Amino acid sequence: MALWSLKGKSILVIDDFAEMRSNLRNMLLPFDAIDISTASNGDDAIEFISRNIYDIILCDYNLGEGKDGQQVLEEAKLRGQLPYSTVFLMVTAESTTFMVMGALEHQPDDYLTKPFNANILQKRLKKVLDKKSHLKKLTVALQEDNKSLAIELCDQEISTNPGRCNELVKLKTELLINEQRYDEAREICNTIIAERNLPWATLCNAKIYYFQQEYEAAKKNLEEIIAENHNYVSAYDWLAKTLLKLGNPVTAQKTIEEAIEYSPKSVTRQRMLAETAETNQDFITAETARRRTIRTAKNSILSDPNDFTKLADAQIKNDNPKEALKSIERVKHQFKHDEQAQISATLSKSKVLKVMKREKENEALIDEVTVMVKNISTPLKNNLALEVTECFLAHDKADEAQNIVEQLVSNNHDNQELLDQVSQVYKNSGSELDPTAMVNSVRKEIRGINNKGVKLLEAGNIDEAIELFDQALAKTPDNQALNINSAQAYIMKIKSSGPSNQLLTKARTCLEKTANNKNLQQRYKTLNAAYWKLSKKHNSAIL
Amino acid sequence: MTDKTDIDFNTVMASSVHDMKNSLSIILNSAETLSNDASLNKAQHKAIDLLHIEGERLNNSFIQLLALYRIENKQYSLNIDSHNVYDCLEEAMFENETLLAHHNIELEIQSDQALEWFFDRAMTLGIINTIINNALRHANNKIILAASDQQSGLIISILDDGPGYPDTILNRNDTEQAGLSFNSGNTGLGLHFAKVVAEMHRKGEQYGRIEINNNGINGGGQFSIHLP
Repeated sequence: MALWSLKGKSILVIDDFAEMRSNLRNMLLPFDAIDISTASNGDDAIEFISRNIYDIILCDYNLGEGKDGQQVLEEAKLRGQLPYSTVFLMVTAESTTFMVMGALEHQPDDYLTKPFNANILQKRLKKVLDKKSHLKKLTVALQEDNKSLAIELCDQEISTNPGRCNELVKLKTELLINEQRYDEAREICNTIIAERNLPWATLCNAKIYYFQQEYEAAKKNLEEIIAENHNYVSAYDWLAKTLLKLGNPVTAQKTIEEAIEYSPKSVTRQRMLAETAETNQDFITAETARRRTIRTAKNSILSDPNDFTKLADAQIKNDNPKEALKSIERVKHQFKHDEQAQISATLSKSKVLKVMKREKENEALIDEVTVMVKNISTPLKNNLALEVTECFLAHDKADEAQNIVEQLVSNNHDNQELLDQVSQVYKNSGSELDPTAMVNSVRKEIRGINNKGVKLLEAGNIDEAIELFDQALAKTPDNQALNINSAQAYIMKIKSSGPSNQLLTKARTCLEKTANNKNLQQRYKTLNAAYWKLSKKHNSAIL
Repeated sequence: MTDKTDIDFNTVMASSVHDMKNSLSIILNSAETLSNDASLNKAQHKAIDLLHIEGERLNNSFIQLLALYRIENKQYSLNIDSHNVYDCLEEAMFENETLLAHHNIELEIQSDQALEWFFDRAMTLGIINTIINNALRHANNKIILAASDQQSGLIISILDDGPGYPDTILNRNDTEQAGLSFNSGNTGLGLHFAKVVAEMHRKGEQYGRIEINNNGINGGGQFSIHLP
């Protein structure tokens, strides 16, 4: 029987039921599997995955209390702890579950429905392992975020292997949408729909409409899907997003509530419900949804201190300031080392104290915030910076407010929306001060540095350019233009004087900061491709 | 939001299904482990075989009841996608490999390897497994899984070389409420499930259907699912 072997493979079995764990282990033993670890709950599983690299993970979807299998998968992927070579099989009790899970962003390599025997397990594992090694180039391209190459590789495979490439067609369509190649994506969807009305193709069409800001058309498509397939959960998510764009948050809230009935253990969905309920001034729902968000995100990378302060806000609205103070206290403990969270929590506390009319304590608290802001080691996040500015202006701390705005502008000199928000904060505060002149001078300074650096690069003075960008980034580490220019400088440096781990890391850090910036996408793509080429060359040289 | 009691029952049901499936897994895998024991005598083998085949039937019935409940309560809509037909049939064969071997029955797949069609994979496999399980008890030594695409759609057939379906089943009018009118116990549930699921497969005005006759191997049973 043992023509096929799991010898040398490291395997993790995750199931809450001891008998099932030993049952699975017994199924694997005949195939020479020796290195088998087991975990009985989601938190342990995540701990195991963070410490080891497994070749194969068998995970039950239903893990009792706490995290479910989908959350384990999501967490591992978001933390970047699941390399493409790892096979992740999700075990479910009902085959209907994957309809609900099916369209999620983070998918396992395959599903197995209980009960199954050793024979089925072996066949499935073999199939997935074969597929992974066959599509290795594609998975590497995806891992390196090289979407245009990935699309090409999909095309190649689709043309050589007809009859089994449904998954690849889907993947290609998603990639095209990601790359904003909407016409090509639309053509694939329409060809499919002409033959058969498949919900995923209609969903892709709806997404394209959404991104092209044709929200009514998107809505029509999404409602069609839901009418035919009432448990296609991601259609609800997209419909809710679309309804928000159409200015209909009330119906959006209902839509998210329906999706949550099918699939409650999703942090992002619970959070979206909370946000929408807040927009709708429905603070009862908001409070519940924030609580659920916090509970679902516990011990997860998705855990966010903002949920606690927002929970406190809802509790104030629901006339329960005492509970609000407790929620804020939880931030103090659970995010002890997060300076930004501490500042945000202190601001929240100040709001509660105001409601409770404890003015004196509140004044002391504002002084605390001033000290915390002064000593902070990383620049304030944009929204928090605006909140702190607002607070300082309200408490006659115009100079402190100005320091924050200077920092904010220098990190975001090209972000007009944010600069407008700054003006708005000043206006709302009733302050006589006008930040425009200051904003303009900071902007001019940053532009000057960028221009100088680019000229240095053009003249071939790479080292000088690097020094200039490094100095500027030390003060404004998130500035987008500085980061992309700095990435380019490092890549030129690597090309001219050869790669080193240090230079590659520097280039990577700058690149990552701009990965999601739509305006810089073209440059990011080019530089990212160049980076991976150099990085591969370097790694193969070391090996 | 719906009634709290509603949510609670669904949670209870989902976790009970989880528990029951775990139990079934352990029963079936224990039966499988036992059946590989060479020291058993013939009678013991037979008993374990029964345990195995009845366990599989229990599982099939359980899947069917659950699916019918979910469909009835609008908790399940078909998950139609494009699938490779040969791979599906192969999977059905793998699932039944041990039992087939123990009954000395050969299973042959007759299908184009590149054939693709649109259907709900899990539900269709549920039908095929039920029919194979049924055929196992009636076939002499051969079962054929055949698939082809015709003008009307995809036809998947399960043929055996047994005595064929009894007249009481063949004479039923296909359009009448099937299932519960079949009085042969869990065959009734299986056929009802097959009919419901087949009919949920729809393309415009065309509906899926099932067909039963004795055109199998040497007059044996033939069960066909037509999927438009």
